[in-house]
Amino acid sequence: MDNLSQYNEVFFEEAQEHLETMETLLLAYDIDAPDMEELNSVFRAAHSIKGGSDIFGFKALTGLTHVMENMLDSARNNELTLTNDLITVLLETTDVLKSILSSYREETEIDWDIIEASKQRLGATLKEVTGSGVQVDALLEEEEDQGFGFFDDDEGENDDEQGFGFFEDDENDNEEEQGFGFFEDDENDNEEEQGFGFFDDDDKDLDNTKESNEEDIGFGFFEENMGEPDNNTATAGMDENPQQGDNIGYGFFNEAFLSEPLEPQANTTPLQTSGQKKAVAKAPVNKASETKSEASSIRVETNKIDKLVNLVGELVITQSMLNLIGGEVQESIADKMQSALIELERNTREIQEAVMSVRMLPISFVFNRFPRLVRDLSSKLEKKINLVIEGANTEIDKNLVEKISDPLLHLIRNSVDHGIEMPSVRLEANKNETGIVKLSAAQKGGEIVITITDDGAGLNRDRIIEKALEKEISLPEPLTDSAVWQLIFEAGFSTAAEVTDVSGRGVGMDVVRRNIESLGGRISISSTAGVGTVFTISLPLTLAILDGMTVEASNQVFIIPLVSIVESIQPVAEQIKHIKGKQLLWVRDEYWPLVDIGKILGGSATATNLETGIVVLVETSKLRFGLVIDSLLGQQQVVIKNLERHYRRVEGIAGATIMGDGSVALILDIDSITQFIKSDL
Amino acid sequence: MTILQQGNPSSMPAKEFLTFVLGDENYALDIMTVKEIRGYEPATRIANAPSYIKGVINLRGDIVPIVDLRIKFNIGEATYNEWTIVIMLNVHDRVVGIVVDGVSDVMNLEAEDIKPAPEFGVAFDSRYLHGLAALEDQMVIIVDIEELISSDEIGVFEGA
Repeated sequence: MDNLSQYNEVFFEEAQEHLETMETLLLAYDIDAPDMEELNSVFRAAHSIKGGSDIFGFKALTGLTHVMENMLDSARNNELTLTNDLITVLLETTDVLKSILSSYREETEIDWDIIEASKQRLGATLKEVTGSGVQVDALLEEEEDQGFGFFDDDEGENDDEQGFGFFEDDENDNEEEQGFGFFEDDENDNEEEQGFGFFDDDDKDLDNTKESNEEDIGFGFFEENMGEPDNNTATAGMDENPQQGDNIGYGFFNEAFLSEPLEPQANTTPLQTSGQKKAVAKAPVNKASETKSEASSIRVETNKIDKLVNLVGELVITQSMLNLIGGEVQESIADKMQSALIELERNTREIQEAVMSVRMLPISFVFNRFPRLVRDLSSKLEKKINLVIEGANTEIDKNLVEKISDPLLHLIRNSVDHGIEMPSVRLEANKNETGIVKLSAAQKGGEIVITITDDGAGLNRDRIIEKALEKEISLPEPLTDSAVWQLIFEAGFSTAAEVTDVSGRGVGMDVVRRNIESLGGRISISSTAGVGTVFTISLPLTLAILDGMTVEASNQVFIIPLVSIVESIQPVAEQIKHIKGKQLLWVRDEYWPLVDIGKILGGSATATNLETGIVVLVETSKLRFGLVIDSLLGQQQVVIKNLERHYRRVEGIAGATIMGDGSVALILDIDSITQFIKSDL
Repeated sequence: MTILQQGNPSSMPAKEFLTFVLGDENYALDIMTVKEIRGYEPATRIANAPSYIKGVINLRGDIVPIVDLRIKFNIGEATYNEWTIVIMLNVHDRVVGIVVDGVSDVMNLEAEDIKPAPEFGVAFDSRYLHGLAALEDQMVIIVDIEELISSDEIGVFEGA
């Protein structure tokens, strides 16, 4: 069994993907005009999970997907019409499957009750829909009757045998397709449906697709083997027939089938035989038409990519060193040298861009989970909402993809929950009964801008001000709309459940803002009463690169992230004030506390006289203050390196970067520097 | 430490140690932990770090801390010149550089060559010692460098 368990992770990944495919397709499923191709895809996804989970022995997955698969199969054979309720239950089932999958993955206890309950619910809904129990029972019972044949019965032995047959038969160039058939969506069509296709037995219609015929064959084979647990046919068949060549996957089943011609199946043999031939012919066609999209991408470990990024960073530094040296080269070869260096510079830049783009993923990876959320929420709240997604192809850094998901989820939930009004209210306000939540992404310069727009009631200005006063949050001056909207990001608002019922957007907005800021991004709101609300999030394209101001303090170079900088000034005497002997700066009608970068991070105080130094005014979500430095060196993009990889965390430092001359410069963590002020004052 | 069998020393793969010098004392560490040996280059200082942590350097794209063992254990004088050596170590999947006065040799030692260290008399806590060995006339102190570098005492790693 061990020789299989090493592939568990691959199975988990694939199953996860299949589940997501199912969910996406089910959500997009149009009850009024069903798309057979999509239904087939859903079916195949369920089918692949079942097949895979069975081989790997994840029984909980197998049982439930089996029932699901039967339903889907009936649907695609027009024996069953998928209703909205059925889709909902199917979606719920995918949720259950996801949780089972993660239980297996994390090796925690499987909750069999949930599986049973889920099966029951599927059955119950099915009964409601069809109005007769007959078919339902058939769909649900098959599983019990048939079990999972071959694999189920003599799992221990046969898994091993297959393991050898599949994985170690070097002569077999179709090895992968057999062994891992279920990993590759497109290729498995032919193979799997034979292997696991026995559920389709009540489908004997000649007019039906070739697939059903293949499945019948599979059925015969497995059924036979159930009675003979000690079956070696599979392995023997393969070993003895290497000449079956590239269609050995098919031959495997075929062989077994032919060697047991006595099977008294309900299905008629002539039909099956013709089905086989068709299936053989069909296989290559299937591949050609369906492999395309999958073959254009491969799965790569992230640390391999990280290594590439590192190496390219090195290359860029070496290149800039060469540039420096190149400037000193004397006459005769100077021109040649220059042109070569220019060439090198262009090439390195292109390599850098290409390598960086490897880390980029379309934002649809995040966006795709929201249709489900909106569907569930709106039906729960009895609202009618249409989610519109734009710019899902916009690419962002993989790390950002993972981290932006939560804040977005929160904002969308807010828009659905509090932004969009009830249908009756909307009608009264002369709006379309169905509200629109629009999620869009676009790349603007070096940033990704994500907006969440709803055409709901808008924020309630008076209620927010009222609530702020209640919570003793000081009101901004002047009380502009945008200043009022910013109030909902205050921590105090997060607990105010009653506010959310009226004006919305209260719960955990401070967390949303903090998360976005920790990614180096910003969030802003605009809202018009009765028209709707727009949240705008700007994020850096990648977490690996940062726009920074290079400064010097205490003979050391530091990088200040550009997003935090308000402005840099050289203070004049009138601006410098004192409080308890500490200096403060009076700028922009505000007192700014000061932090001496040289003193807290460099080891010796920076400029003793503020008037000769420079102060960089910075702003965090919590505080505005000035950083005292010796001089500004310039603005540049830096590649962020993690300090904690080989060292520990350092207060006030967000990371490090490598400068053009190969030296290391530290990047300031403006947020954590605020603590130096607090301890100072 | 693997215990080496006695009886057939020629065919036994003895463990290799890199010897280095701190002040006028000879030390040795398991050569398998050594990533590379470099000259000293100025490091970027890190705020609030103890004096023996010289800072971080750029090791081909990795930001790697540098520990001066001479300062930490107060042996010899912490001078930096063209002979000052940094031994880059792989410790628990991390890279750390240690500053020493020089590296001298690679020596093969069998288990029985390593004598237990006395409880005191060496700069290091005996927890970080494998033992003592004799190399010609000199005594070599065998350091358990992984244990030492990842210890709280050095404090390079968080929660180590």
